Amino acid sequence: MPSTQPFPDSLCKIPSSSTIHYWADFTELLCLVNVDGEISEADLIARTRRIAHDLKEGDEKFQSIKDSSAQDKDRWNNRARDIFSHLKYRKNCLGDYYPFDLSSNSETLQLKDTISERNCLYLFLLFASNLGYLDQARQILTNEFQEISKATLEHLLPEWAKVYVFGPSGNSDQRYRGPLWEKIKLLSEDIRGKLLVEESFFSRKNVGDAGLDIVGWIPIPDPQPSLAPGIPIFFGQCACTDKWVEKQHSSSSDTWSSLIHTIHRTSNFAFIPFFFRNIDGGWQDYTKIHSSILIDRFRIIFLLKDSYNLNEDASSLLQDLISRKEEIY
Amino acid sequence: MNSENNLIIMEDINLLKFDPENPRIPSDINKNDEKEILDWMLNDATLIELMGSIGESGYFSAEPLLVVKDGNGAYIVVEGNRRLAAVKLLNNPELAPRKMKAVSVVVQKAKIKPSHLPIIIYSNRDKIIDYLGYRHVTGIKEWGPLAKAKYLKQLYYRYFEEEQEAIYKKLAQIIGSRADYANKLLIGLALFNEIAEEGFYDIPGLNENTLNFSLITTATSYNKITAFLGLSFDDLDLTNVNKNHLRELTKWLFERVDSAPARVAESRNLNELSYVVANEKALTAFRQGTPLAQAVLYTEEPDESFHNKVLNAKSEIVYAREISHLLKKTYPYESDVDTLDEIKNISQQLGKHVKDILRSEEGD
Repeated sequence: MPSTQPFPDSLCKIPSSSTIHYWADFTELLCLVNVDGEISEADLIARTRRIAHDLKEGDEKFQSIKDSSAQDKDRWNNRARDIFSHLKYRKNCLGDYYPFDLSSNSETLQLKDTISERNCLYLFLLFASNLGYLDQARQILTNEFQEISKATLEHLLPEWAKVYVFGPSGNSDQRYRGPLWEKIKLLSEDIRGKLLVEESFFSRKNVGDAGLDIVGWIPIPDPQPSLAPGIPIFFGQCACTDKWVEKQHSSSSDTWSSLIHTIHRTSNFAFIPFFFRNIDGGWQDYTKIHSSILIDRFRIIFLLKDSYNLNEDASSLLQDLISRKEEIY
Repeated sequence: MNSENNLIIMEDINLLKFDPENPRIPSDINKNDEKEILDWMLNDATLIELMGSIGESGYFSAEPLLVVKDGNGAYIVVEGNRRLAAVKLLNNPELAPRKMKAVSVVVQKAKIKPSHLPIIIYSNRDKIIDYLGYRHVTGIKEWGPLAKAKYLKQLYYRYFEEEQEAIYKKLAQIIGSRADYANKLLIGLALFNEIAEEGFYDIPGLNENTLNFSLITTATSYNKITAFLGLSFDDLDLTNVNKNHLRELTKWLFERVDSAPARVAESRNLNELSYVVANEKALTAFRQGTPLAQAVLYTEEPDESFHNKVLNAKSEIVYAREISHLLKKTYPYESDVDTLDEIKNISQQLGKHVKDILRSEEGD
């Protein structure tokens, strides 16, 4: 749910989902805006329990957990323990790229004294995962995330592969412009496919992306490329909200095979800024991944390492957001 | 719990020591080292809030610390270590081994820094132990939001003259919370009072005890709902509030017909409601009785809505295909065969319809 309150006041709302990676993100954001750059398990419990307490009073849904105060406290303690275990896992697997430290007893998350270039990508992805708290920055965050996704795909492919943004907000090279049909036509030539639709199928007014954000292919050199179809093709969808689960099909081979015929199925990628992991390193929820190769926060950072620099707008947004601190009162 | 003489006396904080046997302090902390204990206590941000509250309103003398003598002329505080820590830090912020910035801000703002605290002296700690069990295992019951709001209103009247602009900051300091939270509770209370004055709009069974006050305060977190009400957070008199809309909202939140739940019975539905009240078509449908989950569909542009539904349908059916190899030979849902045929027919019809539309537009 987007909030129109500016960041960090927007953090007065707790995550609406109980999924742990949202709560771990929320804890990192609280740490970031804390004047001393730290948040402990006890801080987290004190702050969120009070909000939840006020929310649940009288709400039928919560009656069953309105047990004794002592049990309620224990439940919150366990919850906070799980969140901090998750944060510890993030720290362990991302090392220097993680912008936070944990105290020796793992009960306090601390923002590093110096935020290095290495930490910027992580922080940017953290913000991009939390558009609900950053409604005013939505455009810059989603645009830049598209560029980050493009760079990640480039990283997976050989240097001579071609990777472009297909979505209308792409600002890197703008290979695909104008009405959707023209973009699809150019794309079908690029990937040596056969166009299956006519111009009349599309409205001239439609300048969208038909659910395809990133395209890439490996242009195997052939004497007559147009007569030699069959090259590796990669389609991708970028999503910064929990709707990514439904959206991942929009760039799949099944969806696009009705528009462009290719000899071989296209590989479908779903790029998300979330840290979609359990603390054993597996996916947080395997059943949410359908027909796509998921690239989450961990994979993006692991692949890009030090090679990505945020563009000017995104970089100044990041500096602005990092500098905002919550008032003590 | 009886003390030997029940006398409360004031004692210099420098003679008050933390309890080395405090069961809350983890075993790896040197319990005779004041700095280590403070470091551990500062782990919890509510200590900062407690400092702010004491710094603003002073130490409440009816809450004495319960102490025993340490044999060297000083006292060990068996009950009240957090309060002792707060007061020690207010007087000596340099003792803070962490959260230095937060401590320093609170100390700068503090008007009162008590140098003496009320204590009751007991001959031995066993006399205090029984009482501690209830206090720290079960604890004092926190007020509900309506009680908090009513209390804040009293504070509001008391401080409004002198504070005006900064009234919510002042209230937040006193209760050890945040200004936006104080403001939200008071606006919620103003709405509650208006509803009560209107006799709860004759909604059967609705009264002060049954009305879930937190649904009202939570509703005001949604800008679209406050816009619908004409509510402004700096106007506790509700001057511009649309009274008809408030009546409608109250009914949606609390009116049960034939023991069915209210139309927006849970806080998680408020998000959908906020979109509905901001959209004329959706609002009209909702007012005419369309359920919330359906009314919210009217808020999307029809094109977007159609597009999303088609994508969702596909997503579901593809997922079904992916797990289809897991079905058992005893699969019991024979009717699925018909349903799948139906899906095929519907999607063919829709596909034709969309193609016709796209062609006719070009023809125009």
